[in-house]
Amino acid sequence: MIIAFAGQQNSGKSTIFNQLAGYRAITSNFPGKTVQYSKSQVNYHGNVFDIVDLPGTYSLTSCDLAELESGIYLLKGEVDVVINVIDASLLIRSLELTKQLQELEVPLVLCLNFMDDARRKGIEINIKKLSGLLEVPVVPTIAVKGIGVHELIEEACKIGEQKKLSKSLPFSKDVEKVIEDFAEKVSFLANEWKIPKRFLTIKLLEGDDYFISKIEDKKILAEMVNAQKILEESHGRPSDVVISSERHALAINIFEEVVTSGKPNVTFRDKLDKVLMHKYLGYLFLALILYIFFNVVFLFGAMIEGPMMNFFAETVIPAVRMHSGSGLAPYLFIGAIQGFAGGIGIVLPFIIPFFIGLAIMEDVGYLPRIAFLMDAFLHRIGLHGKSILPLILGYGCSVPAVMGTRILESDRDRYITAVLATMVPCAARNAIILGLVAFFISPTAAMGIYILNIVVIALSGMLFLRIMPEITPGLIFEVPRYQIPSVNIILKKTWLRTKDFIFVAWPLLIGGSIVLSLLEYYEMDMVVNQTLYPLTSVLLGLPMIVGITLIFGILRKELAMVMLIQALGTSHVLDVMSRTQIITFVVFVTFYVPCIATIAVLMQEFGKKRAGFVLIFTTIIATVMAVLIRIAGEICGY
Amino acid sequence: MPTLDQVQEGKKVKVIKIKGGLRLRHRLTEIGIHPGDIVGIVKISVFGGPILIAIEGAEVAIGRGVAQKLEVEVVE
Repeated sequence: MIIAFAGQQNSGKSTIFNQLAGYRAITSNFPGKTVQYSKSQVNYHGNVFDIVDLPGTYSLTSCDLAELESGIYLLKGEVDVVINVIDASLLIRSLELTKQLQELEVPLVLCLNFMDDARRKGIEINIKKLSGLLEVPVVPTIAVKGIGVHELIEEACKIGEQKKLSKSLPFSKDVEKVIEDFAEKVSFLANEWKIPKRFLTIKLLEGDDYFISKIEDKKILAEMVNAQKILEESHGRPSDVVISSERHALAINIFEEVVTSGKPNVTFRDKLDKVLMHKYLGYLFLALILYIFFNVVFLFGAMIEGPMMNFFAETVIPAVRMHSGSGLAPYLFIGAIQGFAGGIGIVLPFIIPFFIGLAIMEDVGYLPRIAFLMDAFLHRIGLHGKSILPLILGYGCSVPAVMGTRILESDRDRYITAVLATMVPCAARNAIILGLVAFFISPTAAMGIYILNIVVIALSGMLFLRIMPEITPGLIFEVPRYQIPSVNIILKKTWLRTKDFIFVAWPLLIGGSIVLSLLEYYEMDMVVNQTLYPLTSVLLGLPMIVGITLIFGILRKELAMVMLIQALGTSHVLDVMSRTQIITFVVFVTFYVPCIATIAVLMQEFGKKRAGFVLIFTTIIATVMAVLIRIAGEICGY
Repeated sequence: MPTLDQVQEGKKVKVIKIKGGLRLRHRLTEIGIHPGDIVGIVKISVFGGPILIAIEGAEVAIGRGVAQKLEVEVVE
């Protein structure tokens, strides 16, 4: 048996799904998260069945790709029963989706989730009456606590076995008349496509792009426009608004029949927004929360990184060197170990606490509030408020920053945010800025580089705003109630995201390290330096030997500094490089192409072409900025 | 008739018309905003940011651009 879960965002659908499934699905308290649907086989008290988590949707229109997909999937008829999870405290809006699911005429069970929140809001629901009016079984649940989930599954299995189809409730008389008349004309199409006649009729009257594009017969289209016109003229509204208003009216009627409203119980959660979303204080708390968050992440990361890297450098590598004989073998082994150590010592200690923190902020419901507060600023550089998180994350590591752009809805926003996030100096680049500029020149100079970086990112954002203007209808997103998150789900979510690093980026990190060892073994550095001479020496005015370090920097960013010192043959960098040269080098390394692991993730998320653009764009920016710094430095005789 | 972005914080308004295309209408209705609905203006963010509105127990943030397309009537 296949059970599908459908529900609006923040309905708690994925929470129920996760309680049933293994470590596969992901829940979210942020709109637009589940882009692909996940499937999982479940053995529940001896019953084996498949569960499918459909993308979190508000409705079933074709305007949204995820919503369209959900609808098409349900129409295929593979699903035995659909569980429609709804937020009991938002009954009217939720029932509008329920109505649309009924139009699909699939076996349906309604799951009334967040019963506790509804009660707190003073909403008492007569479940028997609701079930009677909808002619669909209704099961109340409190998903986070697991209350009612067992009953829900039992009911779903029962309905699935009976194959009891749901049916849609009638609209008002005049609208029904138009539907009936037009349905006659499309019934052959509905038969051909094996979808319910009434559903197709309503979709066409709503002007649904997907179904209209499938119709070739011009006569039917003309009939459709005609029917739409009748609705428009009699109601004085576009036909799609007429239909949605009908569903809305039905939902209100049901609400009034089944709900008795009492006094809402004002709790701490309701008061929280008085400060966290305050006009001015809200920003103060945002800064404080992010400050604490990133400090905890970096402190935790640093605590692991130091001892871990020492362990590899002082214990593992010498041991390997001792036992692997001579020739190429020790180089390969050590290269692989260094790549492995980089993942476990430098990346994982930072991204795991970051992902845990991100999941907490997401599930508590703070993320949409950050988006609300930050939107005004990020809008100016062509982004949305939600983009702030991937951007800040970029200071830790570009890999999760690029992956973190998934919280954004539109592809354009995701891409621009990803490009800008890769320009933010990651931990390795921070190490270079601090290790070379702050150490050899001054902390003020290092701060200057950070400010320059932010300015360049903002300017790049404005440039993208010009090249890729916004096409989305604008910002509309729900700010959900605060929730107490479930530890289990936070851990599942963290694992799911970390998995991407482990299986995509890490192998490349190891591969890159091995390549470096090979370069070293075959003494290829001279060839590389010669090849890069026009860039390094002619254009940037740097010593020729830095060429190889730039290649190292692509494979593993922090190696650019280590290798610079190795290539120069001294840690007294000032003896061999001028201040201007140091700053030029660091600026170039800060902006030029992201590391190989980031490139891999960019390719995975956006395809080869758009990942390639990032490489070209960042190289141009890096070169221009470094040349400008060189000129400025030489003019000042610094 | 004023649009939503011209209304003060704390007021309640009735949505009269959505002056936008099919996509915008869909996105607003699916999140619970229909012509005829009563909407509360909860918060107007500073620096031209989004507007937070309350509708049937849910809170929804909408950008100024979208707000400009909502014709409303102040009811309280």
